[in-house]
Amino acid sequence: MSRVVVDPVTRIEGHLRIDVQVDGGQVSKAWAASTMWRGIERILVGRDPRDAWVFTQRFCGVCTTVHAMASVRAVEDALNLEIPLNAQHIRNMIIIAHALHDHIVHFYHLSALDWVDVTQVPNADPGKASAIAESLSPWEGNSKLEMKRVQDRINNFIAGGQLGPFAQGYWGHPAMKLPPEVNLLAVSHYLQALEFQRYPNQVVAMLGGKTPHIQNVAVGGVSTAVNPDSMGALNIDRLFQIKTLLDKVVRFIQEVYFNDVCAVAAFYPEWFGYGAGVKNFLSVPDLPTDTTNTKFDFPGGTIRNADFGTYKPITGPKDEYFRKGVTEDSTHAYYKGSGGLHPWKGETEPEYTEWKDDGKYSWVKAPRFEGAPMEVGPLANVLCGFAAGDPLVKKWATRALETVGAIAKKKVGPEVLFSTLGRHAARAIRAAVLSELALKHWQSLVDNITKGDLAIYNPPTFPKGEVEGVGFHEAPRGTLSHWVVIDNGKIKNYQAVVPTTWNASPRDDKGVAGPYETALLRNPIADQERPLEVLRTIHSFDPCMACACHVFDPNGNQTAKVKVV
Amino acid sequence: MSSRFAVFGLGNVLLHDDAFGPQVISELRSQWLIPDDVVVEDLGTPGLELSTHLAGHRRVILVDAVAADGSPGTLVSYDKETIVRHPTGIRLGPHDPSLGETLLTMDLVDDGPREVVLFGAIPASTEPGIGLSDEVRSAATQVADDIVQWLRDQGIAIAPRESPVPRIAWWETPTEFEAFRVAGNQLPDSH
Repeated sequence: MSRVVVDPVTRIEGHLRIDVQVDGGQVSKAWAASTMWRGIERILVGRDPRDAWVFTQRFCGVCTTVHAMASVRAVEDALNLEIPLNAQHIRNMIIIAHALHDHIVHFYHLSALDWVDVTQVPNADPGKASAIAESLSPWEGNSKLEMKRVQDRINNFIAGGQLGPFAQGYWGHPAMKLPPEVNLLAVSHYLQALEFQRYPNQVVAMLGGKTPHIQNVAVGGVSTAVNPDSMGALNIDRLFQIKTLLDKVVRFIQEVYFNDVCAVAAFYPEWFGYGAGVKNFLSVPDLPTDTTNTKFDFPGGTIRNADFGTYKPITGPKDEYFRKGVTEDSTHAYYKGSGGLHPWKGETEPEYTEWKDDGKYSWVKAPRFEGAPMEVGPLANVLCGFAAGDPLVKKWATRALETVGAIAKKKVGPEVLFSTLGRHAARAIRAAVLSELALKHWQSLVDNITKGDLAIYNPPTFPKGEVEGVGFHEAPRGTLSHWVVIDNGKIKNYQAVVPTTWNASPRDDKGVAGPYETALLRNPIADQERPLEVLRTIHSFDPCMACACHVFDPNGNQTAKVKVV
Repeated sequence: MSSRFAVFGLGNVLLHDDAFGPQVISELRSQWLIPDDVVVEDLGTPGLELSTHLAGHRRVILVDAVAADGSPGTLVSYDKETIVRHPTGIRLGPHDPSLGETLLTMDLVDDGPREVVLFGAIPASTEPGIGLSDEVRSAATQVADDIVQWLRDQGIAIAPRESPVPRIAWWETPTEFEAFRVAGNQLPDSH
C-alpha cells in the first residue's frame, strides 16, 4: 500500500491537492483538498448590492461572467424584480457563448492530452486519419492535406527537440491507447479549436462590452441599449455580426468537438467503467424565457443514486426545494464549527490545523443537498435534462451514444454516462444543445426588438430592513449559487457556493466523501510516478479552484508535483 | 485587433498586490493620452482567453505581479524568450495555463505576438483583500513611466494629459460610487 500526492508547489498558482491511497494497483481511498483560503466574499460586506456583480466577477478570470450573472440574479431575487425580455435574451446569449467557449477550451486545451498522445502523431497515416474524420462529419478541416500539414508541423516541433505547449504531458504512458491516426485527428482539431474558441468569446465581448469581465449587466436588466436602427445601440448590423460568429462556432461544436469526444470515448471503453462518483446529481434550470424566471429552456433538478426515476425538478429560484436544500458543513474544513449551515447563515471563520486524514484537511467546505453530497456540472445538467424528457437533450444524448456505439462496434446505453468519460460526453452533449439554443435566443431577441419592445432595465428599489435572495446559474462547471442578505440597502452577508466546492467537497460530519473523492475509488494506477488516471478523473469534472491569482513565476516551477510516499 | 501595440494589465483586484497590473492600466489612462493605435486594457485574470487578446498584435506589454525573490515593490522585467523557456508542469486544476504555455500554443499556429515584454513587481501580499501596499503602489507609478518610455522608443508619440483625470481604481472605491453609475451600471473600467 502506498500514497500518491498530487500537490501544487507554487505559492499561489495551484489550489487543489489530491491524495490517493493505492492498494494492489488501484485507488482504495482518496482525499480532495483546497490549499488556499478563499473567503473573498467578505470583501462584499457593507457594499452596495448593485455593485456586487462587478466584484464577484473578479473572483476568477475563467468563470468571470458566471459570477456576474449569479450576483445580479441574487439581488433581483431579494427584490422580486422583473427582468425585461430583451435583457433575459441578451444575458442568455452571453451565458451560452461563454459556455461554448469554455467547453471547447476544456476539452481540447485542458484535458484532451490526458487521452491523446502527441508523440504518436508522426506514426499516423494522414490519409487514414482524414478518412476516419470524414466518416463522422463534412467538416472542411478534415482533408488529407490538412492532416499532413499538421503532422509536418508537429514533426518539426519534435525534431526541434521541444514539445512547446505539450511538454507537460505523460507521453508514452501505458494508459494511452488511441491509434496514431486518432491522435493526429485530435491534434489537428486542437489547433483549429484555438481559432474557434475565439468566436464565442467575441460574441461575449460584443454583447458584454469586454471580456473577460463583462460590463453590461445591471441589477434589473442590462445596460446594452437595443434599437434596430441606432448606430450607438445593439442594432441589426451588430446582431448579424453576432449571428455570423455564432454560426461558425455552432458548426464547430456539432461537426468537430462532438464527434471528437465520441471518437476518443469509443477507444477507451474501460473508462466508462471508472469514475462514477457519488451518483447524486444537482443542476438548476437556466436560460429563462419569461420576465419572472418561471420558464426555462434548460431544465434542472436532482437525481439520486444514478436512478432516473428519482428525478425531481427544480422549477425556478423561488422553489423551496432548492432554497431550503443547500447547507455547508465544515467538519473536515479549516473553519470553526462543524454541522451544516444554510448559506444565508453561513460563517467563514478560519481555523487552520495540520492536514489530518480523519480531521480537517481542506479549505473547501462540504456543501450538501438535503444532507447528501451532489455532483454538479454538465453530467448532472444532461442527466436531469434527459430525465425531464427535454427533446434537445434526448436528441443529442442519443446521437452521442449511437456515434460511440458505431465507432466501438457495440451498443452503448445511457448507463455509460455515469463515469469519467461520461462527463466528457455530457459536456459535448450540453455544448451541442446550447449551440442550438444560441440561435434560438438570437432569433427571439431579434423578433422581440423588431416587434418594438426596446426595454432593457427595471430600476431596483431597496426596502428598509432585511431581505434575502438567491441567484442561481447553471455555469459551465455546474450549479453556481450566490446567497445574499441585504440590510437597509447594504450587503450584510454574501456566500457563493461554487460548482467546484460541490465537486471537490471534503468529507462531511457523517464521514461521507465528496464527488472527487468517491470518483477516484478503484481507478487503476499503472505508474505511481505518473498518475495519469487520477488526472483523467479529476479533469473530467473541469475543476476551477483558482478564483484566481495570476502571479507570473519566472522560475517556471511546475504547477503541481507528484510525490509517492 | 489591427493595432500593432498593446499594453495589458493582468491580476486579481481582490487579492491586494495582485492588482498591480490593473493599477498600472488606470495609472496610464489617468496620466497619458493614449494614441488610438495602442490598446491599453485591464484583462483581470484570463486563462487561455488571453490568446484572444494577444492575437493580431505584433508587440505586447504585459503588466503583472511576479513571484520572484526580492523585496516588495521591486520592479522586474522579462522578455518572451525568458517567459517561454521554462517547461510547464502537470496541471491539476486545468484552469491555469501559464503565460508561457499560452505563448507557446499561439506560436504553434503562428499567430502569437513577435515581441512580449513583461513588466512586473514583487508583491507584499496576495491574500484576499483590497488595496495595494505602499511599495507596490509606488512601483505602479514608476512602471507606468517606464512603459511610456518603452512605447516612445518604438516610435509611438505619447503625450501627458494637460490636466490628469482622477486615477480611478474602482475596486478601491469604498461603496456608493453613485457618480459613476450612469445609463445602467457603466463603471469607469468600461471605456
